[in-house]
Amino acid sequence: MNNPSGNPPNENAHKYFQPHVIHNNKQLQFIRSCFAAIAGSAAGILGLTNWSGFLFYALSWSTLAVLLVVFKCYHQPGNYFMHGLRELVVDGAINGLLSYILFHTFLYGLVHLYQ
Amino acid sequence: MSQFAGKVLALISTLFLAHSAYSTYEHLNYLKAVEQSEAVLPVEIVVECLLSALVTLFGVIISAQPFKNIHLESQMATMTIDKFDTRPSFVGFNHRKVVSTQGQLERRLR
Repeated sequence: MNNPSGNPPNENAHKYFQPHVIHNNKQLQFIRSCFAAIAGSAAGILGLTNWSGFLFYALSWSTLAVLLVVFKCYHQPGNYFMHGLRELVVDGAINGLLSYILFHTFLYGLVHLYQ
Repeated sequence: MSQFAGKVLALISTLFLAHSAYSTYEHLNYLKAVEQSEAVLPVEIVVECLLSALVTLFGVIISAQPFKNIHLESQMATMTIDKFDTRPSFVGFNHRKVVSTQGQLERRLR
């Protein structure tokens, strides 16, 4: 089977129990979607623009990573995700940024621009 | 049980977030009516917005289902040996009562 794009298949995949991997990814997807809505709304309400908007995203993403590691992974992200901490913190950052920008512009227009 | 508490917490703090949004909208309308320029939001609205966002995020994280251990060893530890180390045994043909077609034909012809 060819893998034309994306990451190469994980050679250690046989060491992991696939249904639990899928379950964890589903929960993480849910949490990240809600996070984008919440952070974008907060940024829009506060009226952040330009670089402060991106800075707020970086700060809130770091807060989300810390909360996840402490309350969901019990300080052991390697037990719950195949690539460990990298999968929690780095992999979804750009996708979350796009949803964050969506909610940011929506709330900013709603609160600050409505004349 | 903690999932339900998380959902309730997230719902309540979402209401606070909406309240802070409406507060900023009202404040901007007030500034426009008084003809002052918008310098910075009052600190209580900023604090309410940030705190409610944080509590909503916390409630969402709590309300998601707990993560499950993905290592194969933890799953194998819950299974008995009969569940993962089985193979079909030898196939036997020496049943108790032997009924074959040849035997039936012999009995009928006699």
